[in-house]
Amino acid sequence: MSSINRVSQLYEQLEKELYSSLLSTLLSNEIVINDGKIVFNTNNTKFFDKEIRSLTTDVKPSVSKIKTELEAAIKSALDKEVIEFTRVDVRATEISKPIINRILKHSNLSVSQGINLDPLFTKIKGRIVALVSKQGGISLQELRDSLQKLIVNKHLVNGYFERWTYDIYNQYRRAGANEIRKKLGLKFAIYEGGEIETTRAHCDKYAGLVLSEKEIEGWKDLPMWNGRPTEGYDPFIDCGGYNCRHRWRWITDGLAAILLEDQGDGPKDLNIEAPAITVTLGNEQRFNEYVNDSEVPELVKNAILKLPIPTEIKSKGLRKGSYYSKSTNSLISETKGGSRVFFHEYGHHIDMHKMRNNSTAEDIQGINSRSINMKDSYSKDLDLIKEKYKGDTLGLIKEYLKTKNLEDYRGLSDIIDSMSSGAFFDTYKMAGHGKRYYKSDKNNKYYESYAQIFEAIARNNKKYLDDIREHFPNMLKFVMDDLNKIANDLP
Amino acid sequence: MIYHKENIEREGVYKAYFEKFGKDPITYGLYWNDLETYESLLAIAIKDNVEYLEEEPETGAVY
Repeated sequence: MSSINRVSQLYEQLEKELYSSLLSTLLSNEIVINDGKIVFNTNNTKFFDKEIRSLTTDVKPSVSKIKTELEAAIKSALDKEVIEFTRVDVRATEISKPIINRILKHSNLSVSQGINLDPLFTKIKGRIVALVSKQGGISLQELRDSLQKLIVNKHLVNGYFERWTYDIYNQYRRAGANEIRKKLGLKFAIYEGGEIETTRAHCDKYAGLVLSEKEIEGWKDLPMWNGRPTEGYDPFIDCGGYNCRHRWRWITDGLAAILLEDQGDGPKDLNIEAPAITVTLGNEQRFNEYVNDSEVPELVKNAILKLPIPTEIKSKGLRKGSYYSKSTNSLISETKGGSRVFFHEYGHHIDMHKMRNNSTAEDIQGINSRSINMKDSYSKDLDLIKEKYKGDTLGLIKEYLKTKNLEDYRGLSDIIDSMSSGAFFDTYKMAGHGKRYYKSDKNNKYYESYAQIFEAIARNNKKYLDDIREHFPNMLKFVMDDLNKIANDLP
Repeated sequence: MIYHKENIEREGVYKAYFEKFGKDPITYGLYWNDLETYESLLAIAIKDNVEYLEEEPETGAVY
């Protein structure tokens, strides 16, 4: 059970204690009773005044326990935030220490000032005065029943403090998380907390979505909605407003790229706010220029930075053409092919690196879960293609490609070639590796598809990437997931 | 796999190459990204009356 639920339990215990203390009070012979009824007179009024004041002392240990529990709940929530951040960035543990200390100092002060039972005592006194002021007074039993209803049955304490407790708990948790994420440079968050019957329309609209820092900031300028604080509203800390159950889960740009893609935004959007990264690949300046081009998504740059670069990256190798050799870890990309071929070969390098390092069984593709997932994605996309282009599938795709800039669409053409075991090249004379290549290694179709999709992501040509998404959504997701895992050191 | 027609009529340099040598050129995908160069090499092969020759990729290499 979480500490915040424990606070609720303690409020209920306090209600019972208050009621019990009042019952003891009612047994006092200082109360003036006429004909079995407690009546409104100076003596009784003074008595109740005194007794209600003394309640503060009676319940002091319980109030102190509640403060301790609430402070612990806030600390526990902040600790959980730190653990979550650590999964995103290992620096979180160190970075968060001074932030947590500062937040806890504030929160403890707020808790001490916030738990003030005086308004509740005033309410109890007001109820007693109203009851005894009735014509002819009130019996002891009626007074007991009425106080039990007010304090215990209607949860006087819990009802009064519930929203305050919930808000103070969530606000300090969010404030801590917001400070930590700023230090870590995180600029995207998922609006978490789901949807329930009472979820506000505003929260309902954003629940589960990824938003950028700027979009969150923009909530301040939205038209007022029910429950939003009228003054001092801070969307990072207040989320949807009073009693809001939602929170921001801060995520990396890489994960945001994948999730934004599902939301209908491509990786290009990440360039807006992502910090500039410079990648150095070797002596040939053109390769550095390709990878540092402003159109290349930060996700790709991050993934490239995380992995060792090939042993050599050159324009000419010992053999003809452009290729990646996994035995020598060499990347050869002829000048004529430009960035398109370079990223294609770099895609091979990433794929092969993952194969070599993911598991001992990776050298022969087809054994571990990564390759199974790639094969599964490939198979699903093949089914989609056959469904989309029924009949003379290759003829129809050739007609489709004729409407495009063929040079830009060679990657897409090659994936189709792999799906036809090389017939798209050999028979239909469209760009591809051909029958002999795809026959020489049954896994070449997966290797080439991975490299072609990596090239599409890296070059980030919106139109082409959209067409890749339309034709090969599963493989695109696989490669994006792969890059995210690399960029974020995820297994 | 995508099933397809096998009897597509050859055109252009591919047709000329087949007529000259009685078979299609042997390729291992070296020019997947550069059909223009590939086709120009086929034209040279036809002109020189020497079959187009492409070395197989080395072990462990992918184009």
